[in-house]
Formats: sequence, structure tokens, C-alpha cells
Amino acid sequence: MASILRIIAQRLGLGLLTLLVVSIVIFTAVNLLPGDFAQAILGQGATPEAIEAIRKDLGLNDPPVTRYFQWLGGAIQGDLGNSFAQANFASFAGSDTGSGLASVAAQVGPRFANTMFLAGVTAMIAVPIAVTLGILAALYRNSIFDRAANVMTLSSISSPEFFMAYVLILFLAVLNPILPSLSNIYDGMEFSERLTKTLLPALTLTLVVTAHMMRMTRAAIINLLASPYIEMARLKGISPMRVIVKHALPNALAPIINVIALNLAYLITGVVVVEVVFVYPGIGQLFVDSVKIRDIPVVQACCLIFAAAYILLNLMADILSIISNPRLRHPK
Amino acid sequence: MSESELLLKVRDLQIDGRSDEIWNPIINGASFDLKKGEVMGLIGESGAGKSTMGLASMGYTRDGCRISGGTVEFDGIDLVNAAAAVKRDLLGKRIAYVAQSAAASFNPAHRLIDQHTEAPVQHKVSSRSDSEADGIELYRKLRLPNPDEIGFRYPHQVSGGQLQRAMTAMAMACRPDLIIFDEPTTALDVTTQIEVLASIREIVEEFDTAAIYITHDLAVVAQMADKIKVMLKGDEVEEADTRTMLSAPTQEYTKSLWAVRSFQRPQKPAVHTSATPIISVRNVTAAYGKVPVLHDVSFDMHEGRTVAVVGESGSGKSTTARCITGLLPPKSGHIEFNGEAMPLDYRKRNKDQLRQAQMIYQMADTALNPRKTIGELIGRPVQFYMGLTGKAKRRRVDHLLEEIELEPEIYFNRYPSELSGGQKQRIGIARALAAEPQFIICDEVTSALDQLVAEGILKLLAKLQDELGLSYMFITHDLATVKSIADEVVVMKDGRVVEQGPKDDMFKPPHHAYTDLLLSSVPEMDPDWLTNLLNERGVDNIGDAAVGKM
Amino acid sequence: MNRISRRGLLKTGAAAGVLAATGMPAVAMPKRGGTLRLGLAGANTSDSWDSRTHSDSYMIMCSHGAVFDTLTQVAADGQLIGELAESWEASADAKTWTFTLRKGVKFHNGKDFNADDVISSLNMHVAEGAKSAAKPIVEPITEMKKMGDHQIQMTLSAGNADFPFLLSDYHLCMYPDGQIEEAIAKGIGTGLYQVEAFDPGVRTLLSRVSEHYKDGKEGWFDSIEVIAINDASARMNALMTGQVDAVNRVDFKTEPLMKANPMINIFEVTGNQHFTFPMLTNVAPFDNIDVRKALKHAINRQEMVDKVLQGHGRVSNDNPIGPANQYFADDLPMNEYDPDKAMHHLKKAGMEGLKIDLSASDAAFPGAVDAAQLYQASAKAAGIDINVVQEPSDGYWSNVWLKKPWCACYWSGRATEDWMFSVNYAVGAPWNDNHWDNARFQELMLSARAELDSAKRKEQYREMQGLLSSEGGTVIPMYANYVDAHSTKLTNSGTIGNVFQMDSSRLMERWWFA
Repeated sequence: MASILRIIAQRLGLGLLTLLVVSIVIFTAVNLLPGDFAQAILGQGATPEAIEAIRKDLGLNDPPVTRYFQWLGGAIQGDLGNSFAQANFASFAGSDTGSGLASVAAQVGPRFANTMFLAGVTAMIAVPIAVTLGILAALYRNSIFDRAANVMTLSSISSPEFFMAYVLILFLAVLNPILPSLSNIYDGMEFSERLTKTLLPALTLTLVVTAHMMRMTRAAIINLLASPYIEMARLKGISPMRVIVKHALPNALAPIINVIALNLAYLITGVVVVEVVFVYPGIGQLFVDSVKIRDIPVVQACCLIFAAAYILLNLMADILSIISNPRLRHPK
Repeated sequence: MSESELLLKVRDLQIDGRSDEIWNPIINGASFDLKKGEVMGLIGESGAGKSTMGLASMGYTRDGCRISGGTVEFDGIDLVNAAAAVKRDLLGKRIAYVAQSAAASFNPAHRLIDQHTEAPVQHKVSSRSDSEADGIELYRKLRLPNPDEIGFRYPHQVSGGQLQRAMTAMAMACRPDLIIFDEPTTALDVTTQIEVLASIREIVEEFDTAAIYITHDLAVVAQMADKIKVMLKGDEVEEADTRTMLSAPTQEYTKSLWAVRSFQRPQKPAVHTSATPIISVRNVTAAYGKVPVLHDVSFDMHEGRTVAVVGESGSGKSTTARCITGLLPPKSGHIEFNGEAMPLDYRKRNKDQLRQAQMIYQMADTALNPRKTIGELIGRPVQFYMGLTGKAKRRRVDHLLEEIELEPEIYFNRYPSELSGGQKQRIGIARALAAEPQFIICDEVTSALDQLVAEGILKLLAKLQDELGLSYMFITHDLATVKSIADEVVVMKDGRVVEQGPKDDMFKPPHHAYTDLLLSSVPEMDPDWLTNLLNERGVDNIGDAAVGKM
Repeated sequence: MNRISRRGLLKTGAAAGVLAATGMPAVAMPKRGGTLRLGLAGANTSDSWDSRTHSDSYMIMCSHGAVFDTLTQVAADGQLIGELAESWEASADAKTWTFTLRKGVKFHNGKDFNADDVISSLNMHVAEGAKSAAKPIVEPITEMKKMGDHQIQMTLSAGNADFPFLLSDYHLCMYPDGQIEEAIAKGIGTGLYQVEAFDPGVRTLLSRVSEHYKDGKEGWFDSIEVIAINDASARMNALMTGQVDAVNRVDFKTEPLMKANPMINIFEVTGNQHFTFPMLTNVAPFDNIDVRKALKHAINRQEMVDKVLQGHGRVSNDNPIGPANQYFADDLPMNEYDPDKAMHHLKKAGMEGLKIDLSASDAAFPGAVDAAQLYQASAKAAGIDINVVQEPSDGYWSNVWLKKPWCACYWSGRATEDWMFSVNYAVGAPWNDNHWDNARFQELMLSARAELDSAKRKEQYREMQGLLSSEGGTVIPMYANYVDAHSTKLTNSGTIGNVFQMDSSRLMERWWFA
């Protein structure tokens, strides 16, 4: 057990290091974006004086290194800075108080929670379906069922998300009005309503991620079917289903967990299109909106959250893979 | 033989295997009968189709194989045409299987006892608790240490020999009428093998189970079988009861199998005491991290001679080789080359020092880059060590190929995948020779090969030694090999040298106790050998030995 | 529906209530009740209740159209009526304006509305460093005198007959004096609807205030949920699946589908919104009037309306004054597509085989690049080689517009002629994107501004529009319609405003559930 803890500690440390490197990359990349917030928010009305006033207010004239360390220092303490967009510029308001500045955390937090909710609902639906289908496809490999599942998942993988979304809207919201096409959830909504509103995007994402996870489950299991212990199970007269579920699956967990983690990370970071189509107030939309108006603190915070989600999920996958390995769980 | 006693009837069994979308025959019509409680030994070299036939006796073929003709009848049931469900009902319950590698055939994700009880519970032969109790009883019968607890371990927590016995117990779980043993002891050390053999024989006798015992080791099969069937490349060679087969084989092939053990080099005269050894291992102690693996190991190797280092797996044979080559710098002690101490770390050795000590590996397959031709594989060390290029390099490679008895014109442009196992091992030898070394470490070079092929390799090595005056350090666990090629023998156990000396002395009593155990554990071609040995040692001693290995 | 008759601007505005009452059609009796759900484009995470920053439909609708009031407003039929101002009066030179404010009006936080609120609300736009699009309106006010709690006198630096009109601008919302920051943070106005929840760029929830001065005339919904749906397809979907009751900016691609749906009505008005190609007339070759004329005849306006606007618009005669303006002159000689004429002008200028760059990006207006390419094709027939330079959307307004000699641009139009001219065509105005300096035009602009005689102004503005059309530096091919859609569950008085989308952004106040 001690060795597992050590491995976990190592991975955690490595994760933090990665995050630090990523933070530098994010900061550099975001600051390399052409145009700036002042120009973006002023649009047609960007006069040099107005731009300069805003830049000064936001501290955009400080050297990048200073700004990076200010940002990093804040981020470590959980302070992601203040959103440019939500800032009531002191001079703008004609008063000299800066009290109206809205924190990035307050802006990103609820959006992130929404995204997590959507990802959670999707995972709840997609993971069991994908794993079950993967198992069945492995069991009936090369059968009609396997081929059908293959064709279906391949086509769902190759169709763009928005297409899947519209197909679902057509069938489940327009032709048979079962589910709402608009997923405008908000704070204080009842859970059941929230769930209903989240179902269509969750189903869309399910279609998108199921294929990947299912195929990996199938491949991981089939990979093991040539193992001597699988042959042994068959020679013990064990039913094919039990061979797969009891003998192959536990040993295929590591790759399956990894692909699930990858897809969960995708659900957190890559669902802008689905959010836009269903008007779901998730972090993806916020991210795109913020990029559009060059709201650097929000963009940076989103990037950092995305990176952290990726790193954390991969870390969790690593740890789960380790735990799923009896050799590490039960050392000699 | 009365019909009622007949358990398994195989007639004209033909099996095809698929390669490149074409079905090729693997078994060309085999027939045999097996009575209740009878043990048949199935013998032949690898590729003879023994395992395929053993599995087919269960009505099972691996992916890429199919039964293309003939019948397999088990207790009147046609296994070739039976529905999958019918076969499933028999497998595990009435016909069981014990695989070659227990470590690979136990599911790493489940405890032994859970795997043991699976068949009885699934076949509704007994309840989970009953079969668990029975499993523990079987473990006890098979003399597994801590029978009450060992079942609750995971496969990786149990040693190979114990796993093999646990698998035999698992096969016994439903008290089947027939068990297929597929080379169950091949992967084990001799001392472990004997324990497993004894356990298997005992339990098969006790439950009067019929068995097909598949092996390539004649001496082993002699101990286990009532009758022996010999296969060669998918053809039946001959079948007879064990004693007849051993004493009077009728077929040439069978006779040649028997003859393999006859190759033996004459003992060379003793080394002059003042001669400087090529390699001298002096008080070497080594460790992997904090785990000590070698304790004060010392021995010498002289020019033109072969030192066999023997011992069970884990005794430190290969680690010693790693110390000599500098891959694992010893914690203390030193390695002398022609009387001079060499740097312990290979990175600190010069090219000449590196050149003088070469290595040949057990798995010729993995040691050769599959994307390079033979010419390139041998040409690389020729260029690296000898600095030859162009025509000179080609001449040297051709010469080396001739030395290992492979036609240069045919083999120069081939890839490893186009060669047989023995040929690949020869390439390994040529690569080592390319550096023109004085000293070669041969690490279990014949272990993965069939006896006839291994024989060829040993003869080649002997010839090269005579021609080039090479010194070999011959790492092996096979005492037959030691007998045939060694001049000196070093016996290792638990990282220590327990005994060393000239070969003839080593094979003559008195021995160190461990050497004795090692030597006496090598099966002999006498059907009564195991029985006698067990009587001699006493059954309990075997059990103790097993506990000692924990 | 889009034909607006405007009576001449009165020197005196009458009580809005009276006018509003007469504007009410007898056919449909409005009734209270229900929750209106709107799906609106133009939302952003940077949205706030600071009306100075408003520029897009979402916040204009929510603040100007529901939560906040202005002093005056343009009724659905185009008349200027009072909102927070009850009446107003001008001096003869149109320099001094006296506004009488409505009494008994309360902000959502309970504060009474009075003259102080007007003064500080207007001052917001001229505060040091403040960035307000309405600054040009407030700046000419040299003095604001509080005549009483509910009366205020404003003095302008120069006469402006349109001044009450300008005060209907959506930027000029009234905030509670002394609590402006709080009002901006929470959305505290005097409007029919108060803010229950506001999630910028996502959703706004409004509820009807219990007692309001517009009771019985406007404000029929009990509550309103305004959902930000920037994606056109998603917005159309939301309406078609009944998730919302009305949407703005109908997607032309799905329009036929929506037309086929009996539960949906599309409503379309032509306002002042126009798409332009301004040339910097002080830069060669655009300093040559014949080059400008050639380019005006080298564009196929109808084709552009058909292809870029898919018919949802109207050809413009290089005229920034639109059908929603009071003195729109639509009988001027048309700048027809005529390659021969174009060639003739080019020859006159000695610029045959003219090669010029036209910078465009869809940031200028949707379809701007397509429009530029159509222009390129039609100009080819006149021997003009237009090289379409596709500019990045990012920073288009900072790096291309006002900087490149010829580019694509967009104007939402202005409520009054004078405002449009002074923002876009006055010499020295910061947003003058054509640098056209015509002495007669500049002179007319000043005189018309202070002219209280409606007939005279009409004549002056007609002349100005003619000058712009024939000599001006901006090619204006078309007016783009406002195309919105609503569920048939919603209904209205039958008159729909054309100053802005969604019944001049006042759908929430004016419409009701049938």
C-alpha cells in the first residue's frame, strides 16, 4: 500500500509541475492573442485615449513577467483575478471607487459547476452504455451486432457534434416534443427540471463519447481474449459472457479507465459546440465569449481549469489503473 | 479392453491451422484410445502438434485452428460435432486442463480459491463453501504450504511450482474423468519439477483420473505415463506402453530422440594451477537496489574451457553474468581479465575490454532486430569492433556465417523472421563471434530449443571452442546440458556458490547437499526413477523442500 | 407596417399618456398575465446595467426596453412621446429646452424620481474619462438648471430642434441620483420591470412592478425571462420548439421553415440600419469625384439586397437616412448600376483600368465579404479592378475602419437626420469615416439643426441627402431589415416600431399574450 501511496504522490507532484508549465504556456499564449480587451470591448468606438484609459485601469501596461507572477501568485491562493468584462472601470463610472470589480472566480465558478453537471449526467449515461456495448461487442465480435455497433459508433464519431445535436433536436424536441431543446439552466432551478433540461445535450455528448469508449472497451477485452487465462476459463466450461465480464474485464480496466478519463476531460473542456447549440451556460461558452472580447483573466482561468481537469482526470485514471492492478494492490 | 472402460476414443483426427488465409494441416490423422484412469504420454518436439491434439481431445481448438476430419468421442459423446453448450457442460466438469504456464493461466485479477471454485459452482457440482473446503483439502493433498491460506492469495503472490500445483488442484475441483496436462513442468526448475510431478502423479492415482500428459521431456513422461505416443510434425510416429517404448523403440525418429542424450565431450585435463584465468570473479557481492542478490561469489574461467554455472531460477546465475559484463557494477569485489582488474561499470571499460567479453541470450528472437537483415545484424559488430567496411566486412560476415554452418549466399539477405529458432540462435553466436572475443557468456542458450536443435547448437559451440580457443561461461539450469559440454561446474543457490569443481568430480559423490538435490532431481529415463527417488527421499522431505522455497 | 408617417416635430411635446391612449387600437384588448420568454442574440458576458456601454440588442431590450426609462420615447407609430418627461418646450432658437417631469414615479428601490436624477444621469455621459456613445448628445448641453423637483431647463451650445428626440436614445436611461453605482450593479430603474436575476450573457429574469405609471397602457406580462441565445440556429430552434415566445434576428436560412410553421409569425421592418463602403475622400484616388461616381454606378444594389440580405432589405441610394427617419427622401435620382456610366466617369477622371483595394471582413456586417466580392464582379464590367482584401475580424474596427482608404462598414442608423449626419459626416467628427468635406453640406447641417419649421427642415435635409447621394464618399448599397419572429400566442397593437429590432426594442412593454 505504501508503494501505491508513493506512486500517487509522485504523480501528484508531476501533475502540479505540469500545471505550472501549462500556466506559463497559457499566460504566454493568451498574451500573444492579437488585439486586446480595450479594443475588443470598445469596438467601433475605440479611440486611442479610451483604449489607454482602460489598459491603465487593468494594469495591462505592466511588463508581462510582472503580470504573470501576480496572476500566478493569486491563482495559487485561489484568486484568479478580476474579470475585465465585469469591471466597472473607475473612470468609466465617473467615480474613483474600484469596488465594482467582479472576481473571475465568481464568474467562472457557476459556469464550471454547470459544465461539471452536464459532464456528470453525460458520464452517468455514456459510461455504462459504452462499457456494456463494448462488452457485448467483444462477446459477439464479428457478428451482426458487432458490425452494427461498429457502424453506428463510427458514424457517430465521424458526424460533427452539431449535426448530432440537431438530429436529436429534430427527433426528440420537434417531431416528438419529449425534451426541451433549450438547456438554459440557472441557479435555484429544481433538480428534476435541471436534469430534464440537461438531457438533450447530455444525450448528444453521449453519442459523441460513447463510440470512443465502447471501441476501446471492445479492443481492450478482445486484446486479452488470446491470453492463456482466458483460454483456461473457457476450458473450465465457463459461459462466454462470464468469461468476458469476470475474466477479461477486470484485466482490461486500465485502458478502459484511461479512455473514460480522456473522454471525461473532453466533456469538461471540449463541449463548446454543444453548449452553443443548446444554449447551455457552461464554461465552454464563457471561454469563447471571453476570447472574443479578450477578457484575459477569464480566458486564463478557463485554460487553467481545462488544464487542471485534464491533469486531474489523467491522474485519477493513473491511480485507478494502479489500484485495479492486483500486483500493486497486493504486493508479494 | 472392454467398451465400458473406454473413456476417450480418437479416430483419424485431422486439424488444420490457418496462416495467410490458407488452411494447412497441422495434425494428419491421429488415433488413440484412453481407458478410464489411464495416463497417456504425448511426446514430440515443439511444433509436433501435441498441444493442438491435447486441446482437440477436449473438443476445443484455438483461434485459427479447426478440426477438419476424424472423430473425438468422450464417453460416447461426439465432441467434434457437439453443440457449444454441450461441450461447455463437459469442460471443467468432466474434462479438465492444466496449462504449461500456471502463472499465465491463472487470472491475475482473482484469488486462487475464487478461480478454483468457479468451475464447481458454475457447473453446479457443489456449493461455493463446499468447493472452497474441498479446494483447501486438495491443496493439502498436493502438499502446498499453508493450504488453509494459500488459496486466498493472488497468483502473483505464489511461486511457479506452487501455482502449477494449485492449477492441478483446480483441474481436480470437479473430480473430472480426464485431465489434459500440457507441459505442466516445462517452465519449472528441476527441483521444483520433481515436487510437482510427484503431486500430480499421486493425485491422479488417488482419484483414478485418466490423463493425457503432454511433454517434450522423455524422462518426465517415463515417470508419469502408462503408455506413450510419439508425434512428429503432425504425424503419429508410434505408440506403445511406457516400458516397451523406452526399451525397444521401433521407429528411427523415436530412436533419435532417445539418442540425444548421448552427446558428451570428453573431460579435458585439469587446468595448470599457475595458468592465469581469462576471467576471474573475485568476492563479488551485488544487489538490486537494497535487495542483495550475490554474496561473495568467486570462480575462475580459463582459456579454451567451459564453465557451467547451474542453479535454479533466482540463484544468481544471470546476475553474475551482468556483473561480469559490467551491466550491474558489484557493490564489492572485482572482476579480473587476464589477471588485470577491469572497471566494474561497462561505461568505464574501453572498446577492447568490451570486445573481449560477448554474450549470447536465451531468447534469440527478442535479441535480434526484426527489421535488419542477417548481413546487417552480423555486419554491425564487425564494423564496430573490428573497423571493417565494404568488401572486407562482407568477407568477414560470410566467413562468420560459414563458421555457424549457414550458407552465406542464402542467409545474408534474410530477415530473422525467416529463420527457425535454432538458426536464430546461430546468428546470435555469429554476432558474438564477430567481435573476436576470448570469452562468451551463454545465458540459457539452449533452453528455448528442442533437444535435437539444442544438440546442434552445443556441438557448434564445442567445435568453435576447439577451433578458436574460446572460453564459455555457460549459464543453465539443465544438468543434461552441463554433462554434455562443461569442463568446470559452478553450483549456485540463493546468490552463493555452493560448490565448484571439474565436471567429473561434480557428477560423482560425495556432493554438497544442494548439488545432490539438484542432481538427483534430474529425471532419468527409467520409469521407476521417480518412485524410487520418492522412496529414497521420503514424501515429507519433498513437502519440506517446498516449504523451504516459500 | 414599415411605412411610418411622422408628424412634424412639435416645439411642444404633449403628455405621453394621452398620445399612448390614442395609439391603442380598438381591435385587440390587451390583457395582463403570463411569463414572456425571449430568446435574444447580442448578449455577452461583459453585459452590465450600465447603459453607456450598451450597443447590442440584448441589453438594449432589457434596460431601455424594460428596466429603465428615458425622458422621451418614439412610439410604435413613430411619434415622439414623453416617457419620464411629461412635456417639453423650446425657446425660439431651439437652444433652451424646458422639460416637465412626471410626478409620483418611483425607482425600483423606492426612491422618488426627480430633476436631480436627470442631471446626474445625463452627466454620467460626460464624466471625466467616461466612454459613452451618447456623449455627443449630452456634450452640447452647457447648463442644466433644476427649476423645481419636477422641472428642468437645459441650455444647448447651439440650437437643436431634435433635442427631445435625441433624449429618447437608449443610452440615456435615468438612474437614481447618488445611487448610480448600485443601480448599475443591480439594475435599478423606473421601468415596468424590475430585475429578479441577471446572469450576464446567459439569462435575465424580470418581474412586473406592482404599480407603475404605465399601468393600463403598457406592461402586460407578469414576468419575463430573457435568454441569451447568440447562436442563430439555436435561437430559431428555441422558438420552433416552443421554448421561447419570440426571437430577434431571424436566420435567413431557416426562415422558410419558420414561415411554414403556423404557430410562428415573422415580422420584418425596414429601419435605418445600413451597410456601407466608406472611402477616405482625402486619399487618392477617392479624392476624385468622378472616381466616386464611377464606383457608385459600378455596384449592383438590387443583386446585393437579393444575395447578401436574401431580400430582407431595401436598396439604398448612398443615403444614410433611412425609412425610419422623419425626413427620408426616397425620390432622389437613383444611382443605378450602369457600367457604361461608370466607365464614362472613369474616363473623365483619367483612371481607366482603375485598380483599388477594398478591405472587408464579416465583422463589418454579416456577409460583408460576399458583398465585396459581388461588388468586385459587378465593377469588372465597368473595367474597375477591385481587389477584395479579406481582413481579420479581430481588431477590424481598430485596424481597418477609419484607417484603410476603402472598407466595409455598418451603421445602425440614428433616430434623427442631424444625429446621423453629425456623427458620420460632420467635418472633424471622430467617427467620420469618409472625410467628405462639402461646404454646402456642412452649412446646411448647422442651419437645419436649429430650424424649428418642419417644412423648411424637410427641404434642407432633402438637399443634403441629394448631395451625399451624388457626391458623397460613402457607397451605401442597402438598408437591412430588422427581421424578428414570435409565436402566435403573442400579439400586439398592430403597429410595430422600426427604430430598432423587436418593435423598436419595446416588445416587452407593448406586447401581450392573446
